[in-house]
Amino acid sequence: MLNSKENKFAQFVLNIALIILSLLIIMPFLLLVCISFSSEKDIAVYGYGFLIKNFDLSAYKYIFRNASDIFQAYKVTAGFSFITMVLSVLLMSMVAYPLTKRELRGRQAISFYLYFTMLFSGGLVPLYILITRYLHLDDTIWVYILPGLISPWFVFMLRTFFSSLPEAILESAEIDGLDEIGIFCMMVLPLSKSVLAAVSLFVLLGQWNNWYTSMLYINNEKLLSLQYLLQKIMMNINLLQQNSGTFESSLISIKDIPTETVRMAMAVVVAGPALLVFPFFQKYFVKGITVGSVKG
Amino acid sequence: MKSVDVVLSNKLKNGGGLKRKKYVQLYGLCAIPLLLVFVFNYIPMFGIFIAFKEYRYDLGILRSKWVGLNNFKVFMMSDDFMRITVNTIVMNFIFIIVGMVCAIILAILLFETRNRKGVKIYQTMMITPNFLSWVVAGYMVYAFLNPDYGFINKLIGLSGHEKIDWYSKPVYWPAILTICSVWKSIGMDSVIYYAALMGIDTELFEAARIDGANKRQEVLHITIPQLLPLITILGILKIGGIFRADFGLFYQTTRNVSALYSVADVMDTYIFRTMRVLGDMSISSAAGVLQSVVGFLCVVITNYIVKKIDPDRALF
Amino acid sequence: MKKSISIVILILLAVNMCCGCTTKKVTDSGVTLKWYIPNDKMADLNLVNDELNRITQEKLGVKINLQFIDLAAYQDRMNMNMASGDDYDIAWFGYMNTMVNAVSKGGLMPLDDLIKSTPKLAAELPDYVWEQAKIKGVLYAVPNLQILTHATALLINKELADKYNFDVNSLTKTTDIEPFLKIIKENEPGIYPFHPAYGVASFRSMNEENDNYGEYYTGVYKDESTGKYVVTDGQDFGKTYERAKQLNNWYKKGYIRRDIASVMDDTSDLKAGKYAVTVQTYKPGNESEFEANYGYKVYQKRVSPIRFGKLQARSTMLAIGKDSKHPEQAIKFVELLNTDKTVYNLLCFGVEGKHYNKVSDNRIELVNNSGYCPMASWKFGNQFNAYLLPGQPDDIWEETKKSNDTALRTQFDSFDFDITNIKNIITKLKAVTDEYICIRQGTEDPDNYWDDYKKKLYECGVQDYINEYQRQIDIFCGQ
Repeated sequence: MLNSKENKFAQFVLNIALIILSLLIIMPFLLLVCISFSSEKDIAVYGYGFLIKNFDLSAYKYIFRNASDIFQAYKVTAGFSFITMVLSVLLMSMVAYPLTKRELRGRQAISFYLYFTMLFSGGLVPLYILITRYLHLDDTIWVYILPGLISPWFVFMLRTFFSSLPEAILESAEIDGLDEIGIFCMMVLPLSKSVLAAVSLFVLLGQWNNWYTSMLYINNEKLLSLQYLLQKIMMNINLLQQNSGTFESSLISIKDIPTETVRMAMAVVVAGPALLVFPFFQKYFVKGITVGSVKG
Repeated sequence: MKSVDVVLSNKLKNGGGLKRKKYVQLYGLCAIPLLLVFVFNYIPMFGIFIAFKEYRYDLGILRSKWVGLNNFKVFMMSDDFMRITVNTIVMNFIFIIVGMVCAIILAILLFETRNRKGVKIYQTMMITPNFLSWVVAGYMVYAFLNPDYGFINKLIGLSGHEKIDWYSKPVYWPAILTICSVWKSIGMDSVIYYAALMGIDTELFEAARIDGANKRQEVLHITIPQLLPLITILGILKIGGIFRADFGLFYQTTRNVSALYSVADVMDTYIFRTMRVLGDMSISSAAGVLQSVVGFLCVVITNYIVKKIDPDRALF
Repeated sequence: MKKSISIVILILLAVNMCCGCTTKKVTDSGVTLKWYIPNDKMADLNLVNDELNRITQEKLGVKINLQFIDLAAYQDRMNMNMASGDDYDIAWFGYMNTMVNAVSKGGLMPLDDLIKSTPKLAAELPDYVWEQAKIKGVLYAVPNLQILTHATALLINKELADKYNFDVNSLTKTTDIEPFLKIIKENEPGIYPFHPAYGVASFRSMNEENDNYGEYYTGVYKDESTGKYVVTDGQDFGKTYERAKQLNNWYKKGYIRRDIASVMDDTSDLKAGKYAVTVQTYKPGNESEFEANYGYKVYQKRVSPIRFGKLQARSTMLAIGKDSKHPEQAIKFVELLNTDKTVYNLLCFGVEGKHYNKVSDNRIELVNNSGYCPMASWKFGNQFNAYLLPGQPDDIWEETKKSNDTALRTQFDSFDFDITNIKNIITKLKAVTDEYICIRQGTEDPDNYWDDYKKKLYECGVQDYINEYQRQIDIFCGQ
């Protein structure tokens, strides 16, 4: 029998456990933030910790001293991330919707056509040749956007959601004289706000974290992505380590390798906005994933 | 407002016309996306040939010597192959099992919580790691495990024990990598299971309660069985990817330290390194093709097995 | 008298004018050469590029498109560029993005014919340097001349050395520094006495009596009784065990930091001056470079004989891509880089007045926080043509040249070990060596692991490696 007191106690314990778990999960990020606000001396003496002994903004000052680099990267990253998000979700929906129509001939074929690309890929070199020599997309912002616009995983997710929309509503729209495109724009899309928001968020954040494209295709320093700036630091350090003690190490200058606090501050600067954006989407987000992935 | 009859008769009259228009529009909608996929996914597939050739820059893909399966042979007979294959499969397997169990338990805990507002907050907090790149996450791991300054070693030092050289002791890393993997995915995965739980018919729970079942029995006999379809599908999909490792996880958190290769070197990091350092396109391409083929087989086999057990649950 | 002088002057003037007439203006060919250099982006790169173009158009009739590619991304980019048939004209090759790798895949244009059109360039570098840029007798790249010798040097923190009155000049080999390390250990708790960057190589002097013509896994010596060169196990020959023991000895005494095995990156520590003694390649002018990089003064003392660095010229070179459409102009430009001081220093240091100021004819001072400061003269051409920086002695290039020319040489300096037959073995051996990094860091007593290490090497086929090496040495010596 349910004992109200027991129940309340159980709930209390449950909530405490969940709070602790949530905090544990965010803790690493908090650690980064704390380190970034500490002074380099304190780090050398006390190591990394959550206690900020001397609040110190010098790491951030150092980063924003070259602020133009970072602001530019922010602009670029925000730019291509949002453009990709909008285009991607639109285009993926455009292919997902017809796939819900059972009477569409070739539906299976198209599905397989998309699914196959999830399994097999030609590798980096042909893509590089295609992009740089034939499409001349390198050193433009489109190299961030175009190649990854269609992700079969999300297409299937959208298709699942679209097929869960009540047929009656769509049929009545047909009766009202709307053609397929009309139904798609006027009915399907508005009704799918939650899944569209979820996919948008995924796409956006996936793009936000992109660094490989910058490394391989971009020469113009005004087009570098945010994540790449961060990654570059680590790669430089690795280079130095690998060549440490060799003749070549004397050829590498370490003048520009930033300190521990600066590295952590950079990580915060790069990751921060993504985390701040997310709570705003949260409302649509959870609902979207659930329906998109569970049904069917 | 046209009557249904009129519309239907219209449909019958222009049967062909309306239908054609419908199909044209549907195919039209697909056109651009499918074209994009063709350009960026199918055209580059000719690169698969590199896996079967001894690739030279001056001969290019077309003229380089055809060596058939030789690259695969070289790759599979190298000592590295055993190690990276075992690492990839074993670690992925651990991730899948542990990840699923943790996510399901968490989902159940969230489900049982009455405080809905709290649930939303917890979920928000727990999903955040999913959106961080492994580059950033790698920094976080470093903040904990740095032998000199790291948080964990600090605590160990304070308690009087000897600090541990994390980055040079492979033995700790299966656990560390698993923790990282779970940390990153538990939020998102639990949301999916949570949604499924929300979809369970409440009458089932009512009935159970009336029958006098306690929490444990409820969970074992209703909650989990109801989740089985989802678990199966997700399981199949994940097993299909068992030959592909999460590159970021293995590369960034370990800082690509060679001492840890015995447990942390997986297919993807190996391919990355051979391509980068040796510029060896042929081998890395062969490895990539191998991954794809095996992955494909895995999905097909697992799906087949599931079909045998319960046809409804299979993917295709 | 006056008349004859004025006639002479007239004649001189006439000759002068004629010379002026004969230097005809080079016509603009409309060609732009694409040039890749690994370096982080510089704000004033365009400015420097424009100035460069002004000169090259005048002298060669070509323009240059100089592209700086991030150092960390350079290897990947060049791999892709070569794989995709990029038509770049000139690119930097060296200790990474190696020439050997590029040539093995057919990525570079052979230079033997082209070099005939640039005799000045051919004369600029000594023959023994050109030899190193050849693979199987074919020339593929132009080395950037710089220090080519190898000797071990100890860099000792000046402040600490002065504090304890340590006579740096008394050092003749690495082990001599031990008393100083002891002093540091006892009196300076926050300082690490010894930085084992070179590991066992620091104790190279332990093996000075054996001239080794081989490499890490092989020891080559002349068997006096047969007159033949014999290849043997490199670990035994190089007394690696003894050296590892010495290193471990110091580790046990606390001269090497306890956590050396797991220190991910100690750049911060180096910058903070936490090491009393570090080991580096001996280089004239090292002190000022070190100070510029790390911010504190050191004494440099060479502790091993100066040996010629076999194949060291391959550490930095410029090469022409196989798909280049203008190789003739490209090689002429490379000649310009190596022979024309104005052009070379423009690339090294930027525009005079904006990025640096001349202190004397050959000496400059850099402008702080300027928009162009690659600090890597070795990337662009013959380093001996560079202006002198503060802290570099006046004769630094002469000294280095002398060092290069007089270094101990062996007849095996041009022996290029071809690894195609044993590529697999090398990867395995490397893996073993990586695993036993304790050798280079001194963290374990060799008594505990040496046998295992040797056993593993032999399991991985080091004997095959040695046999292959012997085979090639035999061919090389004609024995």
